[in-house]
Amino acid sequence: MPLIERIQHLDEVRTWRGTIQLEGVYTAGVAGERWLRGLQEGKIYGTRCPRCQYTYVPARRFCERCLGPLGEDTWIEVGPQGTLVAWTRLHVAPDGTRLVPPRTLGLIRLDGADAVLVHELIDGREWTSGMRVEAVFRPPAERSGSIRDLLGFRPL
Amino acid sequence: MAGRRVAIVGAGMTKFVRRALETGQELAWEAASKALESCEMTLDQIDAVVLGSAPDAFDGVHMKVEYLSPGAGAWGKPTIRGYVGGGTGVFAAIQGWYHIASGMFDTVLVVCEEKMSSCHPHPQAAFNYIFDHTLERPLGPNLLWIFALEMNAYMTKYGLTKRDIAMVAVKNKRNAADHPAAQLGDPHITVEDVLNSEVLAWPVQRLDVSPTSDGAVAIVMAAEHIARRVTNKPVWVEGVGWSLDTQYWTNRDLSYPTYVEEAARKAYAMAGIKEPRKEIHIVEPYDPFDYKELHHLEGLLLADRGKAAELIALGIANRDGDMPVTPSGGLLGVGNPIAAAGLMKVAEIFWQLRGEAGKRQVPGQPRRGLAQAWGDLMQVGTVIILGI
Repeated sequence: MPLIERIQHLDEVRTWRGTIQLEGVYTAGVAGERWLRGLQEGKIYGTRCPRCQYTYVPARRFCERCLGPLGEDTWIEVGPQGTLVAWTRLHVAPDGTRLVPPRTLGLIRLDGADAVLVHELIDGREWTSGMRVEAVFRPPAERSGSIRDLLGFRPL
Repeated sequence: MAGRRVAIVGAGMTKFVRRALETGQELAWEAASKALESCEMTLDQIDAVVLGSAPDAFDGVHMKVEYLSPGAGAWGKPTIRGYVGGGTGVFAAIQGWYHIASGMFDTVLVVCEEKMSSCHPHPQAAFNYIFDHTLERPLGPNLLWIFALEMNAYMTKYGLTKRDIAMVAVKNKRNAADHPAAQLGDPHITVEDVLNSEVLAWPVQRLDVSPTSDGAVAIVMAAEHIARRVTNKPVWVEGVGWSLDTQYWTNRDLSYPTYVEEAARKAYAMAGIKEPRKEIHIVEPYDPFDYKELHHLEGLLLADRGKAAELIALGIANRDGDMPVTPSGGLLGVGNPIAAAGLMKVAEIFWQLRGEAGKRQVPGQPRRGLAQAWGDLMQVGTVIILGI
């Protein structure tokens, strides 16, 4: 079809519909599995590289800055309180529909951590960068070892 | 030889397994940190990173090399993704070579990773989407049946039997029994085992084909002035070559891998090799299927067309033969985490030439070896020649 003819609708040319169907079965990894078990117990862990003086959250098995191992002795508990670094309010879903009510997401630097964690901001109306927040966990019986065992962060 | 001299100075790998608990990042980190340890280098001595990995669909992470990069030491460094499908493992080493040969960098960490167990129920399902969406995909193609057609074409043209080809699987799985990282090593396997294994797509049976695997491999490459300080056993890159055939697999000569010959001729010319059968002492051709090892030996001009099976039958290709072929155990034996499997072949030549291959060591102090991989839409040949 010449480029000068404007196609108004996809079905004006003969088309085939196809989907790419793939399913993933993922492992959390050596560090990830332990980190999620921690969340299940209501604890947030980081690993601190003694060489680079940097604390990763979620905890990692290695330091990306020096590739050194982050072994048993580098696991430390961080939070559950922290500082809101930045936030956004989501009004439109990826499919174009309006989100009512909107969702609020934040970047939280937990006390004792260098890396920031992204998660939901809940139970608050006004958010400002720099404000103090704390983690809210699901009740123990509802936890499954998932990032969603954390409901989110609320103002302190 | 174009550009500056470049050597491989270190190598490391994870075990190859069917399903790793480790994430792709953790696998990449294990390989990368072992490679650095092997040559007593630290990440701050690395100028740039080359990261190789095959389709994103396997790990199930889009832009997976960016995802993997923390484990590969890419933080704060110039980093490039090498990707020519199954040919990636050898191509990543070639990219590492030209990063340094060009004078741009002095040291490069090359890391290849694949975590195929994430792709459910089987990575073959992902291969449906590499074919033409309108003319081929509705037929439900996957690589097994494409290669079954190719294997049959090869057997028919040269009058080869299933037994001739099964000997490759036996040799490689037996070799792999001596590899500490191997997934499918078997010191007792026989030709009968291969011929009696489950038929997947005739003439391809279960033991004719490599497994799906999780794993990672890394090497450290350096310019000559650094390499000589790092080690007294640098392994030099003497030649490289790569070439692409048509995407229309139906338009190729299915009984002969022209793309491998083109890549090999470039590499031989660069290395100044006139008689490859005499001048190449060890070969690691790409062996995702047993017939492909034979196919590739012919494309590499290391056997006459249709005659590679004789090298296996006569024992010439054994570890103690005149031209050891796949002493590592290859993809059929060590396993096939796609990009990592190709770089494993490069690492094997590195260890063999340094006399560090342990129980796999080829006798007679080999001085020159070749590793080759094959991929994209089954159309690319990638070749590297290493020497001491």
